[in-house]
Amino acid sequence: MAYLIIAVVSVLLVALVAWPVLRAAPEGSPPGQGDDMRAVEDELQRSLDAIREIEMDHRAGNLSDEDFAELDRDERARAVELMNRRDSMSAGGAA
Amino acid sequence: MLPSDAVKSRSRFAIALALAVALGGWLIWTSIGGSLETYSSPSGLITSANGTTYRLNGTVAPGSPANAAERAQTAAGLRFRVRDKDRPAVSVPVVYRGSVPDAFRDGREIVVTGHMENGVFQADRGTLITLCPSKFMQEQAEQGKTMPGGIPGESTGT
Amino acid sequence: MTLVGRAALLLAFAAALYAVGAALWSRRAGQGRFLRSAERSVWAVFAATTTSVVVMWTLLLANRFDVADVAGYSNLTLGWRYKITALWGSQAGSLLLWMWFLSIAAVLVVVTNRRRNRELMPVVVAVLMGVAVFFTSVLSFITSPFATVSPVPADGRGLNPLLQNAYMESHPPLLYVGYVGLSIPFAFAIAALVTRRLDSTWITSVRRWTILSWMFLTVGIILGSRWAYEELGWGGYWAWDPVENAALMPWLVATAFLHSVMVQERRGMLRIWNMVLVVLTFTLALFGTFLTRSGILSSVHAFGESTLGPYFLALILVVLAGSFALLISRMSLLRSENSLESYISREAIFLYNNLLLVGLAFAVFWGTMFPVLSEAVQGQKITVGQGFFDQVAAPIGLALLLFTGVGPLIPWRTASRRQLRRRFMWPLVVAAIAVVPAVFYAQDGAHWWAAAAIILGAFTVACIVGEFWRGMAVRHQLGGVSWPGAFGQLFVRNRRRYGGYIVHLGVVSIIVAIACQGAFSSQGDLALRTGQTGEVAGYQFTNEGGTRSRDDHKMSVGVSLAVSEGGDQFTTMVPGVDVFTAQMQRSSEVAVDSSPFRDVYVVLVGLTPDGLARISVFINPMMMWIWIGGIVMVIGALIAVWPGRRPRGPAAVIPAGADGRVRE
Repeated sequence: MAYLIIAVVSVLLVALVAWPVLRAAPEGSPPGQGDDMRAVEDELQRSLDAIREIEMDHRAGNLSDEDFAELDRDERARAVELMNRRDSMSAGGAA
Repeated sequence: MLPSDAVKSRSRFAIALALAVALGGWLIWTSIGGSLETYSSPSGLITSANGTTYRLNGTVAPGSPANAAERAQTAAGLRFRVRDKDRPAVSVPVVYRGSVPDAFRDGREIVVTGHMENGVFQADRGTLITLCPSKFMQEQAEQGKTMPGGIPGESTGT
Repeated sequence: MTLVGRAALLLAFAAALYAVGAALWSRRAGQGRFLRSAERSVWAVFAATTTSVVVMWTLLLANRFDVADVAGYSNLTLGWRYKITALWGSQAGSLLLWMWFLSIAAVLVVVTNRRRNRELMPVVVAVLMGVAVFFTSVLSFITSPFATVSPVPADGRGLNPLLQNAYMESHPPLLYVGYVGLSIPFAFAIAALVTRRLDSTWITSVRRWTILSWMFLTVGIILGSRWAYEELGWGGYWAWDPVENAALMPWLVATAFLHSVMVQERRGMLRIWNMVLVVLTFTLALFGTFLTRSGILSSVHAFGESTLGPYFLALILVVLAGSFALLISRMSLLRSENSLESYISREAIFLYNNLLLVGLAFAVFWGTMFPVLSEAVQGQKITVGQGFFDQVAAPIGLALLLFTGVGPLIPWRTASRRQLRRRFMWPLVVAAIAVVPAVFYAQDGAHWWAAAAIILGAFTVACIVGEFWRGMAVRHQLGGVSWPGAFGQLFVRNRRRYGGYIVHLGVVSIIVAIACQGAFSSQGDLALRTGQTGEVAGYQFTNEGGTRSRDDHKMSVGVSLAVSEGGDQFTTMVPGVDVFTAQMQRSSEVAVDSSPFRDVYVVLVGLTPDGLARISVFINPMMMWIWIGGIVMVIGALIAVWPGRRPRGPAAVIPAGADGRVRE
């Protein structure tokens, strides 16, 4: 009895695992493209968070005005660059 | 950032890192010097000189007091013998004061820290450790169903 | 039944092996569908492992003493709760638990990454299932939890009484969850290296996993200490035992990683270092499992010698060698985007904190492995005493405490002196005030480090409170919200930062409590006949008579003690001893009276029939704050990982550029 159960379950599992391979699914877009996009999005999100944090730190008095001006300028420049990159990527993806 | 700046920062970084590592190494080195304890069996002890700090490992020889925990609190201390695991004929007397683990009894493997003095192992206070609490069965089989030592309710006097 | 269990493990082994192959194969062009197949195979591994765990629990609950691990770690009188616990009492059972957690973690990774990280996933699946192949093959071919014995004993040996309590029900699984969780950052790091996608994506993907695993390790370690404190009856909670160190080392390195990861996210620095830390953390987690299970080092917890040592060692070496070879081959891709601009900047502080944490982990490793190393080199087994660990940990712990306070107040990149002076004025004032009581208590100078811990603790708390205060003030002004509302908004807006600060408060509490306990605890032994009174450290104990009882499990004795301070009785404590009849083993039932300033901890050493009670008394100051600190750390960690993106604030609408030089 135990052998039968084990055999049935094993066959089921094999079928389940093999199904995606046997079914000749059309290949979607190659992996990586979506990931590239997401990497830039993540980076951008972090940059925006950083800008917000710098601003809060400045308001809270953790940053002097000169330091704030420099940090803020650099971080905003980075965010803009990332936005450009994202836009060019989505334009390229659509084309 | 300018390349020269990067180079300068990199070398400064390396210096800071080396300094930190050296400091840490020194700290470890000085600390380790004062706390070395040689792991030893009873047979390893006898041939060694006095003065070294040992971590004595062996089994409790038969005949240890039943009320071990209580004796270890008296001024005279708990006296028992530690037997070599590999050479049962060799054993060394131990004097110990401090807390005694619940698992202490004849045949139990123990570790205790201390030094030799006139042929007696003077254990440091509170250093007695018993090993292998999850392997109590084999011993029980060996010893038969006798009551272990040190059951508070069963002991008599001090 | 045992057949089903064995078959399930073999099936898990086969499925894991297939998953590794299919996942790697799917990286070839046009073979992408094999990845879905490999992911389903991960589910199969999970299903099979779960089956074998369920089978094992069924065997334990059904008292099937023909199974070696049931006979060895359970018996007829054991309650069902401890029969469940008995699963991880045995070596094979604890590895099965490890494997089960790993399969759960792998399934969670597959589910959460169905549409993300598609390029990383083949390697992630291959690494996780590679580890699973190791564990399932060990469980199938070397030490099976389903091994049988004959003749079948009438009753089992029962579970060690020391393990029969709530702490041991929860402590090993929690530690294992932590260990297993650390395999996920490792898998993603390796995947990033293999696929050369070395941007910060992999770090974002594993951030929550790392914090959660770290949190479980924290809880596991603290519950373990609590167990040692309440069950072992020697008045302490930490003895630098190899098994304790085994859990502490990955915790230290994981803590370093949690901090240095922020440097990479914000500044693109320390990218190689982070890889090294991830690899080390996972290796140390494996090493921890190895150390507790191999019997190469004597320990209070020694689980007995086993044959597993060489296999674990081989796995660890493969992991280390493979990871570092891969890392070296990708070195050129891991160049830093920025370099250190100032020694007084957030990233510099993180770097110092990293060096200290890793340095401490190294010292602990060195101390733990010293007997093995010295035996190999000198032929003589030399151990290092607890003094070594204390001496190394005290200064490093204090320096870490200092950076805990300083770090958050120092901005990224660089800090101007004037700003620093303003920021640190109040914390320094608070620290100066704390000098008075600290020096008063540590009068003889021998306890300088306890005094330093109190001063630095006050300084750090002042720094953190200041951060909260300034953050709230800004929110209050900006949004016109109430003060409590502003407090809540801080967490909503920046969970990780403010959750982290809460964790820091817990750390301060623990370090200060450890220092005070180490410096100011006192101990005394008393022998009291009925009616007699004795005194230890200003507390009077009066023997009010003993009690004895027995049931079919155990014999118990206890003694009732009236405890008073300065003539006022404030409690009655009843320390006792149980003797478990099945195992003939004593177990001290210590009595603890906790208050914020001190624990009174009483152990009954012996009680004679004529009523003479011998007790050991420990007065441990501030002990409660270790446990409170642990709870605070968990709360902080939970805040930091709580799901949900922060809402976009006004600053999100930016691109105008601060000075007009940049435009979209």
